[in-house]
Amino acid sequence: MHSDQKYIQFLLQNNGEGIQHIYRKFADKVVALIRHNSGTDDDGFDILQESLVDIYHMAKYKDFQLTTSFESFLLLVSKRKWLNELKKRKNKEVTNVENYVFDIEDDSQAAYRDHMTLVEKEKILMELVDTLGERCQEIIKRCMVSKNQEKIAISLGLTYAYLRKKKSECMAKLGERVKAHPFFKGNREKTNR
Amino acid sequence: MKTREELIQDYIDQVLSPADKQLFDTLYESDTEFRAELKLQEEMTNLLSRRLSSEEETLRTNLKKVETTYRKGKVILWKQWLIPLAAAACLLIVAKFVFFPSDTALYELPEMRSEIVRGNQNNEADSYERAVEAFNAKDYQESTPILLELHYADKAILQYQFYLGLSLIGEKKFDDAQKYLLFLADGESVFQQEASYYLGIALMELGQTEQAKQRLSNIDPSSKIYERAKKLLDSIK
Repeated sequence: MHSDQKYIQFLLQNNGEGIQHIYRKFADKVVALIRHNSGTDDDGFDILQESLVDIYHMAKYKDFQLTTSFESFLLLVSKRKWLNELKKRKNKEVTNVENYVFDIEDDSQAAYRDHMTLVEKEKILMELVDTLGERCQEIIKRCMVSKNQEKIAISLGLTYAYLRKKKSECMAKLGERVKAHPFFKGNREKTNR
Repeated sequence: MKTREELIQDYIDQVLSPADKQLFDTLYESDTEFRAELKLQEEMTNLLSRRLSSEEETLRTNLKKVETTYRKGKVILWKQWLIPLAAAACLLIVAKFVFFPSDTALYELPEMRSEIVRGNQNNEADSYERAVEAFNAKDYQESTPILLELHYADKAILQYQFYLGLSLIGEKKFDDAQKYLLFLADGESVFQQEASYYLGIALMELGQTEQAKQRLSNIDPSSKIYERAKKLLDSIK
C-alpha cells in the first residue's frame, strides 16, 4: 500500500483535520497549475474541490489502488478536469495553456484511466438525471438509494404499481439520453471496434 | 401485459413475477436490442446507486468549509504582514534619506547667499538680491537672466558666474552650465571645488561620464563638497 494512501482515507472518512492537511499541503500547487494555464484562483479552488470529490468516488471502488504519490495523482486529476473545463469554455479564447496540460496521456494516467472514466461516467449520468422532469428525478434518486419501493410510493403519494411503471419510463428516458450523449456514444464506438 | 422497459426494471429490482420471467427470458434470448438495453440499464443503475448512496454532499460541505478557512487564513496571513511591511518600508525610506542621500539630494543646488549690506543699496545689489530670491525659490528661469546680466556687467565677480552656472543646471541647460563652470573649475578661486562638483553633474547629464568621473575624483578631500562628490562618484561607478 502506498504511504500516501492516508490522504485517500481522509477523504473516504470525511476527516476534517485530514482534509485541512490536504489543503495545506497541495492546494497552492493545484491553484498555481490552473493559474498558469489561463485560470483564476477561484477556478483553481473549484478544480481542487471537484478533483477531491472525484478521487473520493474513485477510492470507493474496491479495486482502486494508489500507485503514485497523492500529489501526482491529484495534479493528474486536476489537469484532466481543467482540460475538460477549457473545452467547455469554447467561446472564451484560451491562451497560455502549457502543452503538458493537453498531453496528459502518460503512464500515471494509464494506471488510473479506468477509474477516472468510471467517475466521469457517473458524473455525466448525474447531470443527465438533472435534465429529466422533477418527478422523474425524485423517483430515480429515491429508488436508487432505497430498495423499499412500497415505502417510497407511499411517501410520494403514489400507488406501488404506478411508481414501478413511472420508474421504468423515467429510466428508459434516461437511457435514451445516455445513448445520445457524446461521451457514452464515443465509449460505445470504441468498445465495439 | 408489461412493456419491455417494465420487464427490465422488474428484473433489475428482482420483482419479476414467474409469468413475466418467462416473457423476459424469451426476449433476452431472441432480441439483441433487448439485451443491449438491459446491459445499459444495469450499468446505469449500478452507477447511480453508487453515486447516490455516497456521502458526497457531506464531503462537499466539509471541503467548502476547509477551503473558506484556508483562503481566509491566507488573506489574514497576508494582511498580518501588511502593517510590519509598511512600517519597514517607511523605515527604509527614512534611512535612505538620512543615511544614504538619494541622487536627487546629490543633485541639489546650494542656497544662494544674500549680500544685503544696510545702507549700501544700488542697482547691482538689487538685481543680485532679486536673483537670490528667485534662485532660492528654485525659479531658475527668473534667476538665470539676472545673473547673466550681472556676469556680463562685471566678469571679475566670480560669484555671479558661479551662481549663473548653477542656475543653468537648475534649468537643466547643462551644456550652457558647463561653459560657465569650466572656467571656475580650472581656476584657483574659492569656487573651484564646488564648481568642479557641479561641472561633474553637468557632464554626467550630457553623457560625458568619464570626464564627469575625472572632475569628481579631482575634488580635494579637504573640501566640504568632497563627501558628496565621493557618493556621486560611487553611484556612477
